[in-house]
Formats: sequence, structure tokens, C-alpha cells
Amino acid sequence: MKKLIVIFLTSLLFANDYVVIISNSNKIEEVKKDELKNIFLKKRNFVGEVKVYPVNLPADNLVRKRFEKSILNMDREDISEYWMEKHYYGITPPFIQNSEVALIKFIKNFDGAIGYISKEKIDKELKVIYEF
Amino acid sequence: MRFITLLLLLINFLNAYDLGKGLELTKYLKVGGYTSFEYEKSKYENEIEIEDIALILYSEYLNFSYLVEFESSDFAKYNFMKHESELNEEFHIERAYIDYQFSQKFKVRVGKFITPIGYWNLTPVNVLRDSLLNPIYSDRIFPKYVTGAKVYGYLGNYEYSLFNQNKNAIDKEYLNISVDKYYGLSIKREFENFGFDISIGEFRELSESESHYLSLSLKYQTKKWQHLFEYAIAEDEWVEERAIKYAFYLQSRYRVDRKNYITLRYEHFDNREFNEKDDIVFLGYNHRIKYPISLKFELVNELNSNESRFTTSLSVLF
Repeated sequence: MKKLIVIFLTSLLFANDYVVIISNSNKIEEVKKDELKNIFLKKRNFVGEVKVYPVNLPADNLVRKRFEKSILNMDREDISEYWMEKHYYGITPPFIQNSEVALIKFIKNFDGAIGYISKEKIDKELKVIYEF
Repeated sequence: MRFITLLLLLINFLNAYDLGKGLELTKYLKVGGYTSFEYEKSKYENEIEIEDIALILYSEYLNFSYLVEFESSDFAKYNFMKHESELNEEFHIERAYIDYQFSQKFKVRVGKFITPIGYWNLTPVNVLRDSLLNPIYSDRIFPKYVTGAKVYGYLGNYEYSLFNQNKNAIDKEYLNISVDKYYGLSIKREFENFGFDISIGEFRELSESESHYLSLSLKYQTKKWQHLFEYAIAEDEWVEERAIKYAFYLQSRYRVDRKNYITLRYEHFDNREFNEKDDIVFLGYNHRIKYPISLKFELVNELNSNESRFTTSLSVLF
């Protein structure tokens, strides 16, 4: 019983601390988890009629690691192998921005960009379309 | 001083370069490639060769993308039985196309590209495949490449490809079947562990025979196992003759761990009009030293003639 309470409280502690964001001017209102996975693996690059451009944080960034675990459900080696295979087909991995600040700036200025950040970094010019 | 500068440049390059992922030279040009070293021993062959050397150039920008691949096949070989060596320094165009994406439902590709059929045909390079040796299914029923145009995309969860060729190929070298007319349709659906593909097509060989085919592919995959079944049947027509042929293979691949895989495959081919029949059993071991470096050992037995051959290969994606 105690174990269950600890697990429940821990899940509350880390629940939805991160968000997937786009610019406020983008028409997209929300995305589903499997859509997000397809977008960041570049299996899909439209949401409805809107072209989207996924943006990652650097590989060692904690937010990215959380995103890969929650949304992609792949470990780093699986992801690396996936992109090596895509390289043969001429498909490049998502853009990378060096920090959450840089990613936010990119999303505000690049039409269709979609990325993820810590929840506390949201501002009025961004729209949250998924929480994890 | 100059030497130190060059050394620093080389170190910077090596730090920036990640094997298997290519190198971005400019915003509009990424470079990569692959190579494969192979050895075969059988009753009739005892040969070592650099089978493939290829250079891939590509990029994406907004809704456009392009890819060009130059390959030299049988680049260099040495035959131990005849004590002869050969060198082929010619490079040919393996793929060359431009894509434009209008929407998720509609994308256009123009140029020379891999025929969108099934699973095996989509991965024609040793380093990414489960085996050096191709199943007969992929060599004798349909052309592996198209020179023309393709429209493709997703209709819901179904991926479709509709392609057409109306003239000779861009660079006929390395084609399994040379055609001047080819069109087809494939529909693919992927679930979490399971996928299937149905393809139909018709083509005219330069020898002026016409063929039409139907292909069915099934894949089941878990973390440890992958099972593949692909079947294709074709009817070939000449002026006064016709022949039906079919081929299939059933393959199971077991992932021992991230670096080690064991593959078992049974293949069958039948063309009764020409009294051709093949039954082949394949056993292979693939060791990925790193993911883009694959070391394979393979044993093939042709059941009808009871002949065996052993091959080993080292292939690299860069």
C-alpha cells in the first residue's frame, strides 16, 4: 500500500511538467501522442493542412530525454539507428536548437516549427498543443 | 605551423563527423555513402571483391527535397580459382530524384527511384539489410527501379504509391530488368507490430515481352523477432507465348542483442513454362560492430541441386 502511495505521489510530482509548443499564430490547436511521434520521426510532416517542422533540443538535454522517453518511447541508440537508416533515404533528423531559449525564439520566428520545453517557460506568444 | 593547422582541421572534422549519418557540407547539401566488401566460396566461385562503393548527395528545403546516388558495383574483384583480378572504376546513377510535397496526402517524385513494392525491395544496400544475398523474389519478378514519376502519400493510415515510367531508364546499368514502360500501385499499412503491402504493376521489357504482377508482403515484428513473408506472381507475355512464374520467401530474424542477429530464410521460385524451379535455404549471422558497420556470415543451400555456398561481407554506411 505504501509503495502504491509513493508511486502515485511521484507520478503527480512529475506529471505534465513539459509541453509541446507552436507559435500562437499557428492554426493547430492540439496533437495526439502518436501524431507527435510520427512528426518527430519525420514519418509525417503535416497536421491537417499545416506543414510542421520538428525542432529538438541537444541530445544531452534533460527535457529532450524526457520527450524521447514519453513520446517516442525509444532509447537514444534506437533513435540514432533510426536516423542512420533514414540517411540512406535522404531524410534528415529534426533541426536542433542549443537551448530552450533558442528553441522558443526559433518557434516564434519559423512558421510551422514545433518543439518542446519546460512548462514554466511558456509565454503569451506560444501555444501549448500537448502536455507530457 | 601549417601542419598543426591541418591537423586541427582534421580533428575538427572527425569530431563533427558521426559514422552512418553523413556530413552536412552546406545547408543545401548533405553527403554520405556506403561500401561493401564481400567474399564468396562455392563449388564454382572463390572470389573476393569490393562489391559496392556509393556516394549519396541530398538535402531538403521547405517542401522540396532531392537525392542523387552514384554507385560503382563490382568495383574490384579477385578470383582465386582463375587468379584473375578486375577493376571497374565506372560510377553509375543508382537513384536521382526530386520530391515536392503538396500535403500529407500528396507528394510527387520525379526521376529514378526504388520501386515502391513490399519490404525487401525498399532496402537494396547490404549494410542496412538482413543479408548480403537477396531472395529470388526480389530479383526475378519485377523491376527494382523506376525512371519516371510517382505520386504518394497517406490516405488516413494507408500509404499509397502510384508510379509510371514511359521511356528508358536513366542509366540502365545495374538494373535487374530493363524496361521502357512500367506502371504500378502499392498500398501499405503499418500497425505497431504488424504491417502489410499489396502491389500490382505492369511493365514492358526492352526485349518486348510484357508482364504484369501481383505482390503481397506481410511483416510481424517484436523487440526480439521479425518475420517476413513476401510473395509475387507474374505473367509474362510474348508474341506467341505466355508464362506464369511466382516466387516467395519466408524469413525469421532473431535479435540476440543490439549487435547480433540470426536470420533463417526459405525461398521458392517456379517458372514451369521454362522448367525453372529453385528452393533455397539460407542461414545468416549479422554482427553490427557499430550500427553502420555490418559483418555478415551466410550459408546458402540450393535444395534442388544440393549445392552450397558460403559468403561473408563487411559493409559500412557513412
